[in-house]
Amino acid sequence: MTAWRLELREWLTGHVPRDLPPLKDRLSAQPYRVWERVLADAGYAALHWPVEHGGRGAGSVERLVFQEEYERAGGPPRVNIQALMLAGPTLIAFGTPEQQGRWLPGMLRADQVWCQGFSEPDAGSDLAALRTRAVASGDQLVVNGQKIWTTGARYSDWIFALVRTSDEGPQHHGITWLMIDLRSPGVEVRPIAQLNGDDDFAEVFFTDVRVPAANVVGGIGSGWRVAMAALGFERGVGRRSFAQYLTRLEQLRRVAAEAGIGADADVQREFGAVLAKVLSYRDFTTRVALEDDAGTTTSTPAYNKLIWSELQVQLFQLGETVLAAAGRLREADAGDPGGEVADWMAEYWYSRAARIFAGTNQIQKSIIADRVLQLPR
Amino acid sequence: MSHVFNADQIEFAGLAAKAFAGLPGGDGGSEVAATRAALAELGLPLLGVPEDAGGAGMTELDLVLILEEAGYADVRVAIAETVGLVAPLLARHGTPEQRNTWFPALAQGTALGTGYCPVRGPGSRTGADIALAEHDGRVLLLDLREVTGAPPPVADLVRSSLASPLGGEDRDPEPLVRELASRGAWVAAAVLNGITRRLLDLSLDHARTREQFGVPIGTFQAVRHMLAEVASALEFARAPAWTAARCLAEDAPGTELAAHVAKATAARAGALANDHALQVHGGIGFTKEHELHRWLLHGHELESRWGTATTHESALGRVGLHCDSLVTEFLP
Repeated sequence: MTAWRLELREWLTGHVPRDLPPLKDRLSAQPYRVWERVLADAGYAALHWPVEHGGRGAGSVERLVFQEEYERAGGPPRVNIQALMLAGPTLIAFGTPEQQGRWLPGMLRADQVWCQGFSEPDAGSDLAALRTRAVASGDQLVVNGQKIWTTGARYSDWIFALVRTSDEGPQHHGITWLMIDLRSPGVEVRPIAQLNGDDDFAEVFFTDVRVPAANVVGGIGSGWRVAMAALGFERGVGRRSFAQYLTRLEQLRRVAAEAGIGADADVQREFGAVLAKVLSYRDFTTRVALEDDAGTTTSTPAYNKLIWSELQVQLFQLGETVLAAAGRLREADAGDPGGEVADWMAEYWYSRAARIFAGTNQIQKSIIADRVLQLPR
Repeated sequence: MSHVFNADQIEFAGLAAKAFAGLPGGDGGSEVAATRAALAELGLPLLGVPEDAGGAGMTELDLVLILEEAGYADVRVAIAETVGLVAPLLARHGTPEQRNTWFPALAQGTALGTGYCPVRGPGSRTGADIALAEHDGRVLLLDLREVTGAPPPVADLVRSSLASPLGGEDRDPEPLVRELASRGAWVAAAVLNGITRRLLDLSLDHARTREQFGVPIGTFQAVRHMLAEVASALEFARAPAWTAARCLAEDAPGTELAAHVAKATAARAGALANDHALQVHGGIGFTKEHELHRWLLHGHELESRWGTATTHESALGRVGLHCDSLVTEFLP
């Protein structure tokens, strides 16, 4: 075992908080923020960030090992993941030194929690059709419009948004990346009740919200280029390990063992099919990480989202199969909020959402066809 | 696990690919003889055999890309199972007499080897004079030199005394039976991944050049998305075969599991590629005028050779459901 893995295992065992409340609102987010501070103080909050910005400059394999150990230790959801994965790396690549100094430390310590403001009611897959408008007024921009499906907006302090600053030329030339304080007058956040029983998505409305022009990242009209680079940061494999799926499968193994259905041929076949995928995902992500660390030019990261999102659906479908075979679904139908069955079903429905968010799987296939396979358009 | 290949491994696979592409086609006696001689000239049959036994001493990690290339090129003779299955098993477990009989023939290109897969027997690859088969809980070495026409069932060969136990009579047979199955699954997975890659490349070429409605069919979203699915499934399937190669090279305890994962995932990707490749080619792909049929047929054969996806998934399910903890079993 590597020294890095040993170090992490020991530290996480001693520090991972237990029994946090479900992450729903500002109040319940508090202990998650405290945990981020603990991670930051230990130097583990943003391994992939450069050292000069408080990261570790870690390679992809190091990050995968961290994720494996984090899952093994049962670490809680990362409340500021949008800042650490998207907004932070974007600032590091495109922000001014002043902007970096202003926001990066707060991202690392979750002093400010961030959410992502890209999608709009009429701009989903066609992101460049976004209409939330920002008009210059002195040294400020005045923002009007609406964002939607914004994860975590209820407990976030800031939103990094794409806004329209021009109607001239092609659609994607008039877009600007703007950092907006959600406590500004004129911002309203409305939770959206979801299919899976949660309401952590939200609509965010902007009515004459005044934002300093100094909050533009990468320059007026450069937002599309900045956003595409940001989504590229997200497409790597460093933050998603097979371990999170393996621990889920282990829960099902225990359910099956307790119910005495481990010898059922249908259960074995479906369980094995998912286990094969989970272990293949281990090998796939390791391969991508090794290639990345070796500086190999490769197209393999382009497949990652398609692969993990389809794997998740199959995993949570298996959950329903095992729970049904164990006679446990009756609990859910009789109402069992917060129980194991309700949790699995909520996750099942959330896995269906994962085919849609972060670029629908159809958009992913089109990107692969264009950029990797270079098919004619 | 998984692997990144070094420059030597990549270069050697490239040389093998070039050699495979230049082999004579056809299954006639003279073509098979010429092919075997050409492969022996390159030293391919004994690549995975230790140097002190006359081989090149390569590990499975050196071989796995070469196996992919054999699938990609649709090599007609049984070189893949010779290199990845028969020669290494002979080297590891054969008696001195068995090795002395067969290594010179393999090295000189007068013989090749194949496995007798429980599902599909010796399979469609030609030119094998030696076979390894599981029979009655033992691995038997079958001498096919005197056999004309299609190889008969193993039981007939046993009766005709053309069979001897690999490693001799006193050998504990069980580990050999398991190694035969794992190696067979691994070789099939690696070759199938090469076939999947060829099916994708052929389909991409066709999608770029075939026009309907006045434009290349590769502009249609239905076609583009099928090809993207194949590309994704292929790259997902390759890494597990590399992991299985590493396990075999290190004689690791997880070898059987890794072979199950590799074959299950390769078979799923291969089946998807088979479906989509024919669909993208349309009618021309269903005719023997077009070379696509070679990879469709061989790929379909390999999907079930040494076990179908379902067989391997069920085996994994049994292990997974009955271990003490998946986390301690599979997390480093």
